[in-house]
Amino acid sequence: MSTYTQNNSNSLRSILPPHILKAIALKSQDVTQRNRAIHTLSLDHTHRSSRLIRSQHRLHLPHEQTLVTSSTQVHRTIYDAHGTMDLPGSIVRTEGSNPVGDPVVNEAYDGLGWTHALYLEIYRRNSIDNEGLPLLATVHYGTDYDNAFWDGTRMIFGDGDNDLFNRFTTAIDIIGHELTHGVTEYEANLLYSGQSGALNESISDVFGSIIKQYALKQRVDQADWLIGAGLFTAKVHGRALRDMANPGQAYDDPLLGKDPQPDHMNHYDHTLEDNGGVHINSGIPNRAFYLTATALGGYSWERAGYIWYETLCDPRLRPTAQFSDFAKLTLENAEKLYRYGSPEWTAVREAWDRVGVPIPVPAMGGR
Amino acid sequence: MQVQTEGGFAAIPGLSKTIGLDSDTLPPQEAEEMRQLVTAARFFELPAQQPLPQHGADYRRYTITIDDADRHHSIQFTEPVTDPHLRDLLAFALRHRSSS
Repeated sequence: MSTYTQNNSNSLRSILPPHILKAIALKSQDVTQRNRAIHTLSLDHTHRSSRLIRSQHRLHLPHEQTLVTSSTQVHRTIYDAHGTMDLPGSIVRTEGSNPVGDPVVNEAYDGLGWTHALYLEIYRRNSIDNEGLPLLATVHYGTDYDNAFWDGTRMIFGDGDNDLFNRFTTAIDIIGHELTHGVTEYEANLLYSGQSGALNESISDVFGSIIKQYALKQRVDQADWLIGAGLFTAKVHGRALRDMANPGQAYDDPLLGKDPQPDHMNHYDHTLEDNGGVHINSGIPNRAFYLTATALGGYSWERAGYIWYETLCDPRLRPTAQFSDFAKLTLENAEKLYRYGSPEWTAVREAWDRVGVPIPVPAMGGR
Repeated sequence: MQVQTEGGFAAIPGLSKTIGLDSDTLPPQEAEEMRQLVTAARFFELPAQQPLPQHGADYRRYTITIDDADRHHSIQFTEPVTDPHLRDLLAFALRHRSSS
């Protein structure tokens, strides 16, 4: 058996930096210019070629076991912004050091540990970049700050306002969600807008929930499938920010309003806010994963998780992927990992069908 | 000054209400602080659109609009905010969210 390694060549991209292409794709009033930018983004051959090479090293039979070396050791550093927006803040806990008196610091440290463990132990992925990238997090960011985000280098967590929101390290799935944005950036680099942005968000919710279930050793029928459970204060009428099993039913509050997530393409929200509703329309692919995982039973990180992870790393998954593109690739990866017509393949196909993203399936041998 | 927030991990449309701060109604000391922060940030010289982030997700997008006598200017930017003066102005507005 050999150690699984990958060679990330993310620095080799098209001539125009992706952010400029993205800006043109998002902002340009010139339709031709926008289409060219989208086309260039979708034909980022260098990046996709490197992913193709890496994918050939990746797992094809998920049940095989492979040894990992000590180079896969997690390297966590937690910083404290002390209520300011100055990054990175001061170092308050490093890898291997004992817990400190501040529970927020320890929650971030432990959450990163669980996330790293899931990716390594289940998917044989060595950190965000699969090359052992150190994991950096800043806590106590801002004052009454109701957010957590990934800035491309680190995860940043606010303490919440303690009126509507508790601290953002309170839920392990939030930590897993943010770290998974890093994984997505190194793999598919899904454009953070519209359907590709909603896929980006959904992938983070999917693996965020998986990480929680993995930490708690829960089967799919034991999991709550909530994102951000415990984040709301008692004042809010809601269970969590998002509900993967029942998108649109996570909260219904006089101040916050009703959870706007759709559970079917018939209710897709064409809003312009939030980069085209990336945190709203993610409900559709979220439910597709939930339906797949619960149809298969057992642990979500296994069969359903393998299929979603393989799809995330599939070099054919382009930055501008739409729901139908992603759905089609999940079915193809279900076939690659299992077989055409297998329970896994059938579960994937039926799940997407139920959320209004039917996948045209040619007869076997016609593909 | 008006500040509008959208996006973020906890993006909830019901929470994206605009923060409005008026120097005529703020306590004099805070109104003066706001004026100093606007001046320090050279707000009226900032580009209307800051570059989109090259990386990242779940960042918030802010729109700050200021009307000052005959001047009107609006800027849009995302987190993390690297300009320390703009960061101070934003932090001031967010601190006064409840009183707006």
